[in-house]
Amino acid sequence: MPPEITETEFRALVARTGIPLSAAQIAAIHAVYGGIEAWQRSIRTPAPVPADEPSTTFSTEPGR
Amino acid sequence: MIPSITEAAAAIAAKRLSPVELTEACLARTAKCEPQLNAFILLDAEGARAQAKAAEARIMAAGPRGPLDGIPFAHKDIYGTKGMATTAHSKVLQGHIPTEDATTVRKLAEAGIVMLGKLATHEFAFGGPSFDLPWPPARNPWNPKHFPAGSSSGTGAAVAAGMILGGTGSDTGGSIRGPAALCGITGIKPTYGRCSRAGVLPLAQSLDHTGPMAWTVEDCAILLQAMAGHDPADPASANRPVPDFRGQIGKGVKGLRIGLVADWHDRDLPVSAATKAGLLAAMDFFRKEGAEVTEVKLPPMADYAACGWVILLAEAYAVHEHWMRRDPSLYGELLRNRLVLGALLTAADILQAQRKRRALIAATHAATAGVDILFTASATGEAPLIDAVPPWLFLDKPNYTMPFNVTGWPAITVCTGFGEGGLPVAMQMIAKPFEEPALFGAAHAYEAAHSWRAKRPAMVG
Repeated sequence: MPPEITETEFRALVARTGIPLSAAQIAAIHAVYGGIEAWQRSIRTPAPVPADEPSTTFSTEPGR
Repeated sequence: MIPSITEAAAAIAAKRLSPVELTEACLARTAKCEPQLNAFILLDAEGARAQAKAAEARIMAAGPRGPLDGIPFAHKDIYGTKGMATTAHSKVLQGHIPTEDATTVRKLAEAGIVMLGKLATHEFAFGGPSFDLPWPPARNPWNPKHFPAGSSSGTGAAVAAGMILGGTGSDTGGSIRGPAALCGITGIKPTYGRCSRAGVLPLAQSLDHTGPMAWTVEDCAILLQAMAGHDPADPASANRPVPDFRGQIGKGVKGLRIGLVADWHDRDLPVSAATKAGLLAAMDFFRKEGAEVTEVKLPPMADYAACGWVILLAEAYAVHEHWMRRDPSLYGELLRNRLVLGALLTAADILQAQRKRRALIAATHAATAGVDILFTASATGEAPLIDAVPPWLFLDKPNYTMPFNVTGWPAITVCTGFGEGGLPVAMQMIAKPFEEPALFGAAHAYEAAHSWRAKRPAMVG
């Protein structure tokens, strides 16, 4: 599925990571980024209850 | 005939088979098949011969240590092996030699296995099949033009071809169960925490599982017995007693409550005709044996996929961030591009995925309250051509295995026959956490009543 983010916006996101990639490499990843956007929507559907804890929570027990 | 571990162990204990003869037979099959399969990254034939002789000497003197004494075996090349290169099939770690064995490597060595070497994997258990790495990708012994799946690709190929009788795999989104399905062998992803990951190169720690792959269900139970157990060196290791994994083998399945997740193959992700036929025939078998089969409705596969892959990508990038920022050209194109996706996720994405994970685990428990074992397909069908595997398939479609990395439940892949091109097809059986003995019992009952274990790839001869 085509990404909603533009290639210019996407280049800015990649630059923020500090990973040195060529323009062609960035364009190839941008082309498939719609899949990630779909997952980002999916994990927020239905909207999470604010009080819900993530599955990895802090514990004072050593090793947990 | 290539013996199973169970058969070889009985013959060794009765002094009808020598570990030296058994190892030489595996090395001969390796010499014959390896040029087409690329299953090994490092083959240590002389080391294996020395270990086999030592095993033979101690067995003659005092009997075998157990059913794995003298059994030819190999490790996926993400398992740390003291003094032996552990590369993750990547230029990044080419020449890396650990100073310690992984906990599971040590435990299997103590059980007496004869270690033939290190096996091909997708790069760092995620990037494959890749053709731009220092070693070629493993291929499928049922037809070397086809994909063996991954990431435990070398283990799947080597076990199916009888180059080894068992091997280690790791499973973060299906990397044991996928190759087991496409290579026609058996592989179990145990419960999260059942087997130590200490000393094994990580992909994504909250989803990573170590586990065995072998020709039969009982062989996997024997191997898991040696691998399992609490390990303080692994923060996720479960401090629980290790049961007898063969304890329910041969006890029958009468009264077993089976849940078929039909929506997944009927609605979410259609499977090949042979895969569906194998799964439905298995349901008929279990009904006839006295099990109770019902349909179970789980959340859509896509929900587990979104949750699991967001967590996987984020955790994997955290592992590789240092190398990726310094020199991404060290990676193959496939893994490098996938890791970049992890770098682009936000902190909120990861926390939302973790919340979703808790909700999915609760929903899975609720939907399976009256069920002992779940059944699904293990893969969509027969192995595709290795040069036709879409690089971004995981973004486009869910898979059958990731849901049980998200939940951490134990799941085993069992061969259900052969489909197009004579390639194997398989089903997946899933139990509740720490209920591996029930899984082995049911899987063995199915396997023992079918003839699939009598057939090996033609190239083995």
